[in-house]
Amino acid sequence: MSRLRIAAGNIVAVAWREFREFVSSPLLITLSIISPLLMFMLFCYGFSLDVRNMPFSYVDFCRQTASRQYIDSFLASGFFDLVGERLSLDEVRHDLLIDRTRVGIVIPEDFSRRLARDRNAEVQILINGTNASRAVIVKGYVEGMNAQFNTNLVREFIRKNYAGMDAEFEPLSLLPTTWFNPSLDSNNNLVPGVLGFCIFLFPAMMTAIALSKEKETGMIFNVYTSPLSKFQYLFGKTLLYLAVSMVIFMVLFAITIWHFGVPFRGEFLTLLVLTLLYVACAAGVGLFIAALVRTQVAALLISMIATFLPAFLYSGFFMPVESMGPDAQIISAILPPTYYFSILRLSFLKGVGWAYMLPQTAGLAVFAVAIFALAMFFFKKRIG
Amino acid sequence: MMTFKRIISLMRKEFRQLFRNFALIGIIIYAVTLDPYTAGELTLDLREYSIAVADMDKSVASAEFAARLREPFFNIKRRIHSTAPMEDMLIDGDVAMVMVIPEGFERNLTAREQAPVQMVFDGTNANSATIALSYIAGIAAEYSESVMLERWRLSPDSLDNFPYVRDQTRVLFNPNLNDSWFMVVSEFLTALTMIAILLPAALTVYEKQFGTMEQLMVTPLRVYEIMLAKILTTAVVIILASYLGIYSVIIGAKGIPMRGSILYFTLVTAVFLFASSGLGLLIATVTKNLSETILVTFIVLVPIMFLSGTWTPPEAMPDWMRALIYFSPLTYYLDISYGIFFRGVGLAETWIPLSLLLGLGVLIFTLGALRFRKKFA
Repeated sequence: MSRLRIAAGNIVAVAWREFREFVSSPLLITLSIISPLLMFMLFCYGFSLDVRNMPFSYVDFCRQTASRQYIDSFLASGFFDLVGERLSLDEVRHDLLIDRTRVGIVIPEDFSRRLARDRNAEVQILINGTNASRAVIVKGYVEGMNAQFNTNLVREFIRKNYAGMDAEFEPLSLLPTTWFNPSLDSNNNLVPGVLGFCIFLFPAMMTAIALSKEKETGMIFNVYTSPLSKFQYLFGKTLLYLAVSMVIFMVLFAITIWHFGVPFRGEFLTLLVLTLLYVACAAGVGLFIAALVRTQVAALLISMIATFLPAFLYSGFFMPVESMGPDAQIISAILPPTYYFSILRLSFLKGVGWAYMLPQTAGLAVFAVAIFALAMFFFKKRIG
Repeated sequence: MMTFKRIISLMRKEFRQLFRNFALIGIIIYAVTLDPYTAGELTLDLREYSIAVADMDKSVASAEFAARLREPFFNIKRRIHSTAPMEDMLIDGDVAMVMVIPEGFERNLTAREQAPVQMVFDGTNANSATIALSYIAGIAAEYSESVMLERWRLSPDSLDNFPYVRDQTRVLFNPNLNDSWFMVVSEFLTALTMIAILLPAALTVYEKQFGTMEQLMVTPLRVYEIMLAKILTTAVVIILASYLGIYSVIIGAKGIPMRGSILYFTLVTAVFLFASSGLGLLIATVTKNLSETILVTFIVLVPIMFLSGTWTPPEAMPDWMRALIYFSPLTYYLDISYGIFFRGVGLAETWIPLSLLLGLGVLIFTLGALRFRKKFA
């Protein structure tokens, strides 16, 4: 019992020392609270995968009612923003070349004449393929616009030439409904996702810096000669950053609910416990990196590159995991953010509890144990 | 002449210091090679959208319609015979959408009644659900068209004698819509940017933290010589790293055609590095140690990366943000770089953003250098 008391005392002492150092730097306090907040707000307000207001330009060699109607159908859809009418094909191509537009439309001279004679007319549509994913989506929209224009033309034609036929009829009717997020408001997915993203980066970076600083400045030798065990030292050091991260979590959670109005339907206590586990994973990543490298600059760069981009790209926050290639799916199965994002979706929107989160919890727990064990292992080697 | 010699010797010191740091060199190499390589497997397009089909009609028509939800966009992961398991499947995230084709689908179609098809989406990933719905709407329209033509007893060829607009869609610069191209290049440029902003700040604050800055100060070296040596070293490292990434991964492993000139890319990178090292200097003057540097850098870096249009194209941003992006040097750098990689642009097409980048660089650098002098001289 008394050994346990001593161990607890040691951990508290390390944590207290870390806390004193933290509060002695007002800049550090301000920044570690403000920078996650700033990042959170920026991402929530500015991040959007919606395809809208796509800039386009066109050249209309026909200049008749039908060709104007065709262009108008694009303008009226709300997906496209007109940059300007051009007088030649070269100008339209130039707009695409300098990335001023995403779409260029070329209407030939005989457009109206051919349609008036009940013939096919051709329209050339040029799409900027720089960002292929977006180009695919743009292509879909363009083809949709064109199909709609055609449906109207064909209906008109049927009505005129084939009297008695049901030109208005639509054989298939789609009845889509959406669960968990009926309005398909992308904020409901995005805002909790950004929250999970922010509370992964900061604990990892802070612990990486905190540990590597002592190693680099030689202060670590005080620890080597002290009766502290590696576990006591690492755990004590982590405690502060866990606490800071939980405070940040609470603040961001409040903003998510009250400012962005994302509904929270699940169990708060469950989410709180799992968040602590998740933040511990992040802190473990920082410790592991700092245990491996000698200098702060390296720890800093590695922790940034190892957390920022993967958490963003591979976790399913940005794109569904099923859509990724096989290597990327392996990366995503290892990363804690993948599990945490799923927990966030289940808690916020699907409103289910603990019982549905067992695999995710297991994923986080395995990672946390593994990363702490790795950090301890490599840290020990350096002492010897 | 003396200055030049001094800077060269200082750079040799910086290089030695840098290359002794294996972990740092390792992560830089990783960031420009392996990291973009795996990012190539990511896509924002609809891929393998998992669905369950409950075909209650079990007819030829219903099977034919369901078969139109094809790979690689959709993946019919489950076929169910009642709607009972639907709720659990959607909560678990086992499938992202359940399509219910009710009994009487075929009968309705032949009887010229409207045939309804129900779809229940998991709305938590609103973005993919929206894209999936638009794809399915397109598929349904096509199917409807074929049913209508049959009903009017017209062959599909007869559309040639209809007033009908054929859209000849052509995708420029990436005709096969190879998605990984953009992801690889954008990941490469993002990593390069992170290093470009972080490294100069870190190298400067490093010296400050260990008090070796004072040692340098008492030597006959001038402040600007110390500063320039650090900046030039970073620039050389980053430009070398960019060549490594371009030749090994972008052109090599991924076979992305580099349409523009690498020389021009180097020039643009150099101009950008000018601005980013100015930023690094500026940051180094306000912080005391590395933990502070990383946080300040982060505060600066994230908005800069964010506002550059890497992740969100400018047209999808709110207006106030759209106005801000013109103050971010990264906006111009990425703009020109994508242009060089994919569209083969050169100085003639991009001299405007390049001169804006240069102007921003001069502004930031002057500010950084002035503060640096005041602080250390």
